Amino acid sequence: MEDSTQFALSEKASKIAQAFKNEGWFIDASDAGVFAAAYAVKNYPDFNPLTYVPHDGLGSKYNYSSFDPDGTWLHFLQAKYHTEAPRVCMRNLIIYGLECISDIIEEHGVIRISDYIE
Amino acid sequence: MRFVKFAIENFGPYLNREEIDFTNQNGVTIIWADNGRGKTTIMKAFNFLFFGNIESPISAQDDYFSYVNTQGIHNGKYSFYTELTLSNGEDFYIITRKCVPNGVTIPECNADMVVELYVNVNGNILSADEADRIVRTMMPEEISRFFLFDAEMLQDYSVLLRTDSGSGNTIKEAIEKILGLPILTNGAADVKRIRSIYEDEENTAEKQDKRTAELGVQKGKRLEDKKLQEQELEAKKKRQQELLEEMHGIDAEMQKIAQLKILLDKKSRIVEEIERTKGEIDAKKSEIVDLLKEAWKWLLMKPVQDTILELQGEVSSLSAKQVAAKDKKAIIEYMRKAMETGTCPVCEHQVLNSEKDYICEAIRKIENGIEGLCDEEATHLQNNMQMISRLQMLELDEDHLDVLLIRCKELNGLQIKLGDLCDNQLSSVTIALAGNIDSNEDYVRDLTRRSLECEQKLEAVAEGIRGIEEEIHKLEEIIKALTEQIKVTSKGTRLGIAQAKVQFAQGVEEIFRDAVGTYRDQLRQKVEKDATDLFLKMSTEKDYDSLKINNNYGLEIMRDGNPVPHRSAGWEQIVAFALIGALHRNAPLEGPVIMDSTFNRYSSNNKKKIISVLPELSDQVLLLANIGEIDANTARKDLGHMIVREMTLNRVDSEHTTIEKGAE
Repeated sequence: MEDSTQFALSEKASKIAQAFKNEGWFIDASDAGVFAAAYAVKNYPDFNPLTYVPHDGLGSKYNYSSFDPDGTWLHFLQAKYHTEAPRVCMRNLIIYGLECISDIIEEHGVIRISDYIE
Repeated sequence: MRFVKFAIENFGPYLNREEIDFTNQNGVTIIWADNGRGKTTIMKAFNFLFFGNIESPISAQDDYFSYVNTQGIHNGKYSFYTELTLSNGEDFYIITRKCVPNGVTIPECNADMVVELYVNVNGNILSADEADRIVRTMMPEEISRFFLFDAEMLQDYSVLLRTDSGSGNTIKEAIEKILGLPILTNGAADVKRIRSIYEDEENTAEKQDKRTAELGVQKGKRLEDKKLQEQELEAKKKRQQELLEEMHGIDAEMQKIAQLKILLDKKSRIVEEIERTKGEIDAKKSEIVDLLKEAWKWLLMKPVQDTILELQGEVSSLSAKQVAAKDKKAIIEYMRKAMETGTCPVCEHQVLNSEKDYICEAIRKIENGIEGLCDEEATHLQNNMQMISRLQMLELDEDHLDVLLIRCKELNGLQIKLGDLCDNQLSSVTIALAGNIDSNEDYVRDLTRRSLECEQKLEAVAEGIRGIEEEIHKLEEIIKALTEQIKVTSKGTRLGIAQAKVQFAQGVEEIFRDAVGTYRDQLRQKVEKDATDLFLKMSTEKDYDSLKINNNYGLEIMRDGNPVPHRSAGWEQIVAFALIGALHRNAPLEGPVIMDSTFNRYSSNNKKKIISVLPELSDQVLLLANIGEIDANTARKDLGHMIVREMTLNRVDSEHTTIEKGAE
């Protein structure tokens, strides 16, 4: 898998990241993305970001550094997934995490941020 | 009359069928609830059940449509009902009052709704007229204020201290009705009518008797005059009653203006509270946003720890392999040295020739078994160790997680509070204001003018009544004198019988007149005594020694034999409580007392004493208690076994409340 420093989110993931921003929970949509990636890692241990293929790339475009300015994720992803493409791995985690949260919100109707932290 | 069960469905916030079970024990049933959960709706539901009306807080018109549950409407359910199961003596009743669409598929206003009443007595369904009669007899609307009341109604009793108040007169009549006085007053009126008939018969006999004909004609004229005066008196009294009712209406409108002010103040307080809550929400959210920026680190902590453990496992296994190879090489080194020098370097044993072959074989076997790390494994080991070191250096901690969760919980609470303020409290006060009278200055001036005019008319009518009564008295004296003269000259049997009948009717009328006065006085004394008894149990002022009743059943608080001036609203309510309790002790009609939270004006000590007295108001008392006003544990301690059941109004959402057994 080839790594890349530029990537786009799926349309669905972008929408929910924007909704988090609009609701005032995060200052930037990218902060919501990082939160969603961590949410996916913690709550979906069987999810494999190395084999995941997003539905589309029609959402907002980002530079990897906007998600991981100090390289914390890079080290973690390399260690956990033994991958040469940690940035793509991060993208997939962000998309998957955001889409999972989107599905939950669709089911329950409201964003209750504490539900995703505990 | 004992209540067994009350049910309500699709009424106000009660979406589904909710029930209040009254036990067969005597005592107090408490329903606990916060503001805006539906306590007042339960009061309205009882009013609807007994009287078929749901007045809006201000408008005098019934307000059925707005009481259909909005979720119910959303689900296509447009009717609501209340149902009461009760026993009265040997009989068992199920009273159901429904509000249903009036032939339309989707009602849109009150005109589209119709009220229906059903009464089942011991399994038999009554006709509509009979059902209506039974319910009216069971709970006459005029006396309902002694069975169903809230703090505002308790405040009304202070008007009984004023003898010129229309409202006071209405309440006085209600009091005399619950005390059973109409039995005697109606009897007195009947006897008076009979006496008048006998007087006519007597006068006819007087005129027919030659000896008394002339006097009889004179007396007949006086009797005619008296009848005319009595008719005039009747008309004046009717007019007086109309004016009192008009005065009552004006008083009520005056109260509405006061109520409007209360509503406006309430709305302004709610709006302020909404703004304050919104500010608190913004501040709380801003704090949460700061904390959330780091939340991913807390989420990542466990996965990082798990990854470190996994890597450490691999490192441990590779390291063990590396160490085992190193150890074997060291053993071979020792054995080679023993062969070369002939002495073991560890235990200094002299190696015999016979042992050398064995050692060579051992060296060969160990050499074959050595398995060190391959290059790839060595690199992997090194990488893993580096990664462990990097991961351990990541600054992940959960220090602020608890704070974030607490803030989220606080935010949630504030959002629920805001929802309640906007959806329940503000909307109900807005609805109440929307139905309010136009209370501009002109209106208030006009109302004051009408009140003065009404008072003047009442005075004039009272003056007229006094004049007519004096005239009737004079006529009665003349008639009496004429009757005496006729008796002296009359001899006829027929006239004698007629005279005896009149005399008898006059005697009975006198008995009734005296009985009304005596009974009224006795009732006042009993009410004063019982009210004093209850009042002293509730009073926290040691120098208040009794209550003194006036002709209107108004009660003054007495201290050292003198009335206490300027008593507070809280004391007004305590006196009203005492009056209601005393009326229940002396009333021929018995029934449960249902009271909406009335405790916000009292000190904790007063509350404690009032709560202790509740079981004395009636065999069954239902208290709709505001959680903030009464401490549940204290109430339980004060009432002890007299609490027969506790229930809680549980808010599912702003349009859905359930009645749960037990306290919160």
